Amino acid sequence: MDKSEYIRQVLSRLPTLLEREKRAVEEELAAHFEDRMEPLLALHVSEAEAERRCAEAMGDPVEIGDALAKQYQSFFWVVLKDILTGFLVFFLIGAVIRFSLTTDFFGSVAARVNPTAGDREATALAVAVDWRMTVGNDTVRLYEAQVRQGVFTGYLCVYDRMPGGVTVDLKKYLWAENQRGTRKGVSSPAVGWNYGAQYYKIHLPVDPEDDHVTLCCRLYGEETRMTIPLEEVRG
Amino acid sequence: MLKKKQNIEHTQLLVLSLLAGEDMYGYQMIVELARRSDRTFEMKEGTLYPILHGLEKEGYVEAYQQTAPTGRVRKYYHITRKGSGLLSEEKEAWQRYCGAVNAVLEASLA
Repeated sequence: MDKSEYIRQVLSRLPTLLEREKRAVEEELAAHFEDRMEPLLALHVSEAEAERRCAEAMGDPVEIGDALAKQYQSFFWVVLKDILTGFLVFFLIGAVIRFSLTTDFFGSVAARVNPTAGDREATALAVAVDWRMTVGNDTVRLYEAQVRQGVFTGYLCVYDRMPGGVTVDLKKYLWAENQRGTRKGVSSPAVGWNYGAQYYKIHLPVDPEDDHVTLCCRLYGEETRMTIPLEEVRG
Repeated sequence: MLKKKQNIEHTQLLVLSLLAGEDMYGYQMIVELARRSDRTFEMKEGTLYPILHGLEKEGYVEAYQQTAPTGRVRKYYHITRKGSGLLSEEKEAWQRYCGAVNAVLEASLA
């Protein structure tokens, strides 16, 4: 095998290299041939024989070419990788900004996991319960309640079905009814709301013989009702 | 027909060791490696270039053009600070390895 054929076979394994990179490889291999052949030519070995011996000493050109190819990344993939990285960074920054400006992700999660953490004035007498109803895209959750001295007190939170989703204030649309049809709306506590979840409390008079109250919500022309048994929350 | 020779182990270590002493070009490294190892290490010469290009891509060596003593312009390689750090690590690892092998051999010969 002569020098030209050897270098051609090496370069044939490097189709994705830029032209200037291929020229650099070609020049370096040609220089190696030149240096290796010099002492042989000085010993009056023919040029063809010197090239053949040099090619043998260099090793399999296909293997050399494949090994070189592993060291180079195609320019196309380098540019594509840079573009995709840029898009990903832009998207992540946008997502973080969107989250921080419009949602309280942790508030939304807390309402699901531990609503008392996101809440309001403390009450040691309330009983932990878990009654939920779906209103549009939101979940209304009664998480604590008690009946004392003829008054039902309930603690509610509202959160979007999607964690991190924004929820609106349902104060005007929520109420509770007793068995005589008396209605009472909800009030917002002094602390405990954020875009991720809304917190309310409700006070409703009940008679000793009452066995339930009804939590109601009217939104977008639809009324949703949930019956709350009083047996487990009577003090 | 071109015959395959057994690959040299720790070829990167050998190349970086050569360059730690002075900047060299490809053929010069082949000759120097054979000379220093008393011809124990004689690799297929073409395999040097993927190693050199890989070291260059990783930043362990850098290349430049210079006129060689032969009067011809050649691509010289220079070890970088990062390459010197890698060389130190590889040397330590090799010495640990040799120490362990020697310990086993000495125990078996005792």
